[in-house]
Amino acid sequence: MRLTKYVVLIIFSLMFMLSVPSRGFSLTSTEVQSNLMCDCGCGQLLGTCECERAEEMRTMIRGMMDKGMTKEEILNSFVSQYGESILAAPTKKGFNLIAYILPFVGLLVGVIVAVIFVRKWAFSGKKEAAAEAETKGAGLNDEMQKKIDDELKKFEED
Amino acid sequence: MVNFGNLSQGFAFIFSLASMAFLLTGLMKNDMRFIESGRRSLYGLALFTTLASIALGYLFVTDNFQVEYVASYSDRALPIFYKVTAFWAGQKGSLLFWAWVLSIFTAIVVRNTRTDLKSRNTPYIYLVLATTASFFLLLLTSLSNPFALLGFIPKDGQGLNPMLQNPGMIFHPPTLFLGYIGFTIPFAYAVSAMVIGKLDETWLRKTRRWNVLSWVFLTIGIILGGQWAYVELGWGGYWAWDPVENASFIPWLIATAFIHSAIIQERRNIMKVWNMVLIVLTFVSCLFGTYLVRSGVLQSVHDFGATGLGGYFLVFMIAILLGGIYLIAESYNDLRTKHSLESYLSRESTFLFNNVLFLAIAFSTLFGTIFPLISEAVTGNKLTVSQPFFNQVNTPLFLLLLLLTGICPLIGWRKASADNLRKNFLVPALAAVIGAIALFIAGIREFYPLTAFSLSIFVIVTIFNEFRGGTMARRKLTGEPVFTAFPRLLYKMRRRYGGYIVHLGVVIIVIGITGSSAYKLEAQGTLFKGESIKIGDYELRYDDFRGYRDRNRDIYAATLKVFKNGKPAGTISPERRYYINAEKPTTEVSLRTGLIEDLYVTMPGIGENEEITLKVTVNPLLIWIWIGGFLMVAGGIIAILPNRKKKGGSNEID
Repeated sequence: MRLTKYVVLIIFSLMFMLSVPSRGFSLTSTEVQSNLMCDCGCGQLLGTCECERAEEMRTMIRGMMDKGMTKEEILNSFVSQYGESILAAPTKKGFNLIAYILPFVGLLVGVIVAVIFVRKWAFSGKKEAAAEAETKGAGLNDEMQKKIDDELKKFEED
Repeated sequence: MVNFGNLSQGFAFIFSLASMAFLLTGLMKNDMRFIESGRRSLYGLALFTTLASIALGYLFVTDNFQVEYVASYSDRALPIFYKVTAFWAGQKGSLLFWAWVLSIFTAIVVRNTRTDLKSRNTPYIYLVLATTASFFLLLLTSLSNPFALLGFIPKDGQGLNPMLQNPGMIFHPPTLFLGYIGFTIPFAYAVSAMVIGKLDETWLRKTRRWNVLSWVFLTIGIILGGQWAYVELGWGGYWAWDPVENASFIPWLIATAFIHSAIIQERRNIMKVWNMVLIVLTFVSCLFGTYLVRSGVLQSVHDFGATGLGGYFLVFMIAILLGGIYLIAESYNDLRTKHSLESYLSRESTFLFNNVLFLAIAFSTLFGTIFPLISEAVTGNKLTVSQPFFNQVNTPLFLLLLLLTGICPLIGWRKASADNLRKNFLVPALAAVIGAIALFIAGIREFYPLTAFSLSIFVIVTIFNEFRGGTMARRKLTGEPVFTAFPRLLYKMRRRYGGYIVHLGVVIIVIGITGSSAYKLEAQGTLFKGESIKIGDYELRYDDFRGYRDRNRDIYAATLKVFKNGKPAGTISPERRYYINAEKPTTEVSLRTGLIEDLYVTMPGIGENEEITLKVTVNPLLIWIWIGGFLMVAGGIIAILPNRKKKGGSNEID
């Protein structure tokens, strides 16, 4: 059971880490655009909006990239100009962290509860089977048990 | 016709109220005559909502612009085809459509339960349905009347939003509504079961087809919505994680969890409380979706704006939620059964984990959708939560769900032995590993695409193994040839194999989404005639430009010759359209679809000298999203096909 706990912990840590993207190659305008919303009020990502305002913003991005600004610097520049709502996703700091962490916490809680229930039901199933065997006075031999299992399987498949 | 519509709508409301009153009286006095009257009133409800709907359709077709709703969503130049679909283009018509479909579904239930009238739960089912219909008719008759008149008769209407002038308008909204509304039926059965304390699996068995059918409609609605948003600019692509899109996805996720856990209750008579919770949540999430769309509390690309009805939906939703919680709490002791499983490792337990995952994705989608409101309320900070957030948070959850989709069929019901597991896992796991290595060598090295493709191989091999095993077993048993054994197996065990077809559809969608989002190519440029733009293996040469009038729009189209690897591959023709009554021009996508990739071309700008600004995208594997969607729907339909054997019996939906 200790091993299971560690496996679950590792899976969750991995999943959370995976939710934090990392990039190692050169910056493209498309990459910056996919992190910004268009300012025209259309509610679309900058990369998908085709209005004039979106084109102006794209020109601004290209200008900043030509100046050698990094992705973070470009995004910060937009935030200082238009506020945090210009970002397509909340920054991973302060109160916003809740949005990123809570779904995984919810999943973890759900999995723990499910594990507890499954263990409890499996335990109760074993107890029932033992009591049944005891009541009947004699257990089934392996061959008979196999036959029953096979029949049950057939029945369930139908 | 306006008066006729108004009267029909009014009568429908009266019949729904009368039905409620008769049913309540009948239940209190234990008098079958009142119950019978309540039942018949529901037929009256269906009749009058049908008449009201016919009236509204007639007003659209005959351009009666004195009616404010018609004037807002239609004009004389609008093709008749779209005049009919304009019925559900706005809030008022959508509400009438909702009330109409609900009343028809109610009439079907009433007809199918005509012999069960003395059964204690039937009047309660009718009561829930009548109450829900009354809510919608209350809104229609008092706050959102589609037959309301303007104080004058305008010469023409304002026209239908150009984005809605698309074939998607015929099927997407109605199917989505049918899905939402369909879940009212299992909800009514669940409430009735809790009220009378008949908490065995009867209500699940009777509503199984309604559950799956509603799920099928919801799936069709979502897939068609995605297809429409893909070809219509301004909606952010086939899935933008927009609040309105999420509002349809959340009930779908919860309903899918419910359909899975209902199977467990039917087989093992466990998880009764959980199924009640899920059906209440499914229905509430359908209402929540409607609330989100109607309230205007969140900014959406599908701009419905604030309609003033959000508060009413919120109150109704809270009442349903509190009522549901109360009933579950009251029935808790009766719902609790002695749960037991033969083994820790069984299909039952994997179903439980799949439920957890579905709900986790539903929760993260809901939380992300409303997080801007929470953040503003707590910190005063206005935020946007869009695609990057949902992609980051939900992708790992989806991959885990995909893995479980593959694992589930490998683990037997009741008890899985180590030997069986080894035998069942070996081939799919080996195929996934070999596939992953091959993909890695082929250049797919990013973690998510590699994982998604490898898991897809795992699931596909698992499903094919199931089909192969079943077909071979049948062949051995009956001596039928493979091509006869397979369809007969599919029909005989349609519930099981229909489910596998749905799973296959999901995997194919995953492949389509992964390919089109991870390996998309984009290029943009301004071209003069004779110039070309290159993208991937394609070269597009700008050959011609023309402008012409077509019905209610002026069209400007460029013609581009397409070359793939230097060889001619047809032409493509993106357009700019200027609709009468529209403030802004629209951009029409020109699409060259193939099994490997889509060439997606738009023309955002036209210069004075007919130079064009062109945006070209290559979307790999995108068509597989629609193929997977089709398989999901087909699988769902197969799973609920009626039994041919019932010659004398009926194929009633419940």
